[in-house]
Amino acid sequence: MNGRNFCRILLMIISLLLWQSATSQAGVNEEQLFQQGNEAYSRGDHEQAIARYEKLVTASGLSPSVLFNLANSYAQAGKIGRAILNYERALRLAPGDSDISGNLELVRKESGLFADTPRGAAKVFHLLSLNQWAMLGLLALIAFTLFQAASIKFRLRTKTRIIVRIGCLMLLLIAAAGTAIRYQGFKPSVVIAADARLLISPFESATSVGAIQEGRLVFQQKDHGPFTYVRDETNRQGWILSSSLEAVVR
Amino acid sequence: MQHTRKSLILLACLMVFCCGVEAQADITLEASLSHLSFPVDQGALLTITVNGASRISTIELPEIAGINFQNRGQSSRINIINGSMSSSLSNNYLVQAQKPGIYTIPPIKVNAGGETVSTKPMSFEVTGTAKEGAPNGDRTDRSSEEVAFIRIPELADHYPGEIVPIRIKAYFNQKYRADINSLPTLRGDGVVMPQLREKPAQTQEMVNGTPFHVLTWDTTLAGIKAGRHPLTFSMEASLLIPQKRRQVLPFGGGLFDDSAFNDPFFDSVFGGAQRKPIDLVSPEAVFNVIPLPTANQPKNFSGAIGNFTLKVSANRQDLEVGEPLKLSVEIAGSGNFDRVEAPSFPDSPDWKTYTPAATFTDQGNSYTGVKVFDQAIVAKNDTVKEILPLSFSYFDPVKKDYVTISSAPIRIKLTKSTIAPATPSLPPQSAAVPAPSVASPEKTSRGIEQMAPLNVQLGDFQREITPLFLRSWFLTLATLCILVLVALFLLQLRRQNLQKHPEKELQRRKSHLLARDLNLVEQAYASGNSLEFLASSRTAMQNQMGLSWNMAPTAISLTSLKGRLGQDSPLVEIFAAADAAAYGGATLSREKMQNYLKIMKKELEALP
Repeated sequence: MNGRNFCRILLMIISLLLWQSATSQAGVNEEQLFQQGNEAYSRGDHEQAIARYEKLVTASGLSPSVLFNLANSYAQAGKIGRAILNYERALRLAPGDSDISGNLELVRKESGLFADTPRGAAKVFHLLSLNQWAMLGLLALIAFTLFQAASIKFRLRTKTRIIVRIGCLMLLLIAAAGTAIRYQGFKPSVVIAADARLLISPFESATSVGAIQEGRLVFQQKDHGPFTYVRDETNRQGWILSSSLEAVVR
Repeated sequence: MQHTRKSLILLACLMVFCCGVEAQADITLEASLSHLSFPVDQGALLTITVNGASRISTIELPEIAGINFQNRGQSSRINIINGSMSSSLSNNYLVQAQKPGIYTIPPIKVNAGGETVSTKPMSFEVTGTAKEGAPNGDRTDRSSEEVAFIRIPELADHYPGEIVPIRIKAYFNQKYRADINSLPTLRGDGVVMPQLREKPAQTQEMVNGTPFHVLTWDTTLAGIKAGRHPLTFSMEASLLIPQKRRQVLPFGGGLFDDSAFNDPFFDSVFGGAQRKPIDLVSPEAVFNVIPLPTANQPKNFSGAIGNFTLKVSANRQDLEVGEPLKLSVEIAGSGNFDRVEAPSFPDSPDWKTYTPAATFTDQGNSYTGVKVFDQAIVAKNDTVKEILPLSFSYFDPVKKDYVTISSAPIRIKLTKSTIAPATPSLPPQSAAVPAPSVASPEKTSRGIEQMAPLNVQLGDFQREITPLFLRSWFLTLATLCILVLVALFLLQLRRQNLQKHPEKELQRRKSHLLARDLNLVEQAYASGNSLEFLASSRTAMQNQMGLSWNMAPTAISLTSLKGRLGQDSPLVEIFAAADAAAYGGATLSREKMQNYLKIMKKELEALP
């Protein structure tokens, strides 16, 4: 019996050590790949940097820093579509990062990729990001709940009760609308092909609606064979080869 | 009433019978040939019409050496004029000859309605083949036009690249059955035509008194080089000639000799049809392409020919220096939109311009519509007051001259940029990371080199991108809040309910108090302590009576109990025993205590 227990404990210790070693090894690899990517970028070897960062993303997942560096590498390599794709991904993981939004804005501006400026109510909803609207909504919900609980325990003036309740509910409603509207633009795709064209029908010989720039954000509507029907930031619509697109959120 | 109805039915039957008899009595026969002279490689249509019969038993076609008869089906017609009914049956036969000559069709015997009638003899001439007989082509055209032909409109002089709308019409005689095997194709050099749509418009037209099915394609032609370009349109079709079924009479005639299966209808359905290919060719037309004049050709002419309008608009007019502006240039009208290019923005040190993106929206065809060019432009300094006018030039084929149209300048209000120019600063860790020295591809520009530098902290990894409101902690917190709100709402409802019905609250308090007090009494009973039993019983009674009578429990005495419940109430006895025990220290047996407990439970629960 004692011997069996000893074996169990030994097995557990060995497993623990092996797991720790494996995770630390992975951490070392991640760090190494990241450094190698940074060094390659510094040397001006952007293709090598892209290869390192892409390998890191494939192996370990998405990190705002890695995606940002990868996007910078793509931008320096002149691959505007993939640069914008990775900036957009990085921005979704770290919405408040001014470096990411600044570089994205710069790349878009340099490539002449301007989207329509939101007007009216849309402009108001674009004041905050998706996560900020969601957080505002949650805070409004918590405040409303706490106030409801407090109003049971403490006797408050009716006017105060009404004002606070309406205020919280209005805020909750606006935040929900903001979240819903901003979520519509949360899952775009990016045109990654340099010579993509929008077609009126889903076949290659169809008449072209016009060229669509690399790096342009589009929203997928439906698929047909190797083609996808999309609407771009400027509200142009048409069929495009699915291979010319890559989704920001997979 | 019933008698009248029977009479009417009998009368109607009699009338129908009389009509039938009358119809049978007037059987007449007509035979006609569509052409009394035709080439040997074609044929004529023989029509045998029997009037006054609803059914034909047999038609005895004569055997003529070198002549074939092919059944082309039967049609029937019924006329009712002023109550008198007449019917006629027509049988059609295609008459073809094996060699030229003059032939006579002898009388054809027709058995209908029990009568045998005969046609008159008919003579006709079969000439040589169409080509032999008409070397100039006139005869060919005329005879083939009886079946199908193509018509195109007259063509005028045009310019290279000019889009010329054209309507191609294919006519098919309704007397014949035909299939089309191909779409019309253009035969000719120096002219191009886009692919035709597979489903043309279908109409019917009368040509020289003959009804034709008409297939219409609307398309365009464009000359690609100057010169005279003769062209024709052709298409392939098949003429379907019905084949006579081979008659199989397994029982040697008799009963099945005149069966319904000998109806010519089955010849067309089951007998099959021979497909005879026919080639439809339109008359030759000349597409004359004349070169565009070189005199007065504007420098910005890109090859656009047609009639266009220009409209320029900006998405904003108040902006800061360095802020992008979207310029929309709309060129609308009709013409060769593939040659319409964006008007070039005038060279100016005040503006930075980007490549425009084009979108064409047609208005039902490829040569009328609107082409919109969206171009991003950025003002470089705040001295700019307006967006410069844009010009577009095209050649008008009607005026036969170049036309240049210009937009009006658009006033704008520019203010100095409030954003400080980006000065990238490397974080301390990245000091060892020099700025990229190798300028990569041609697409990189000075702007991109001003990007914020690399991140040197690896950061946390995530498997997927999930918005905040879909993360588990967010959902848990939101769910918790909602549950708390639901609980608070229910609590509030309960409170309001109790406030509306105070008796329920009183009952609830009484029940709660009774349960607590009886529990103490039971504990005293279990321990066998009669003093404690009686004391707790007294308290229980005082509490219940106090709530019921709205008095302080301590104010309830034996006297008030007697006054309210009466002398005989068992509770008065227990209360008196409790009073006595409190002042005199009396004891109770276990049985007595059990009895008191039972009474007290019953009486107190029954209190109003």
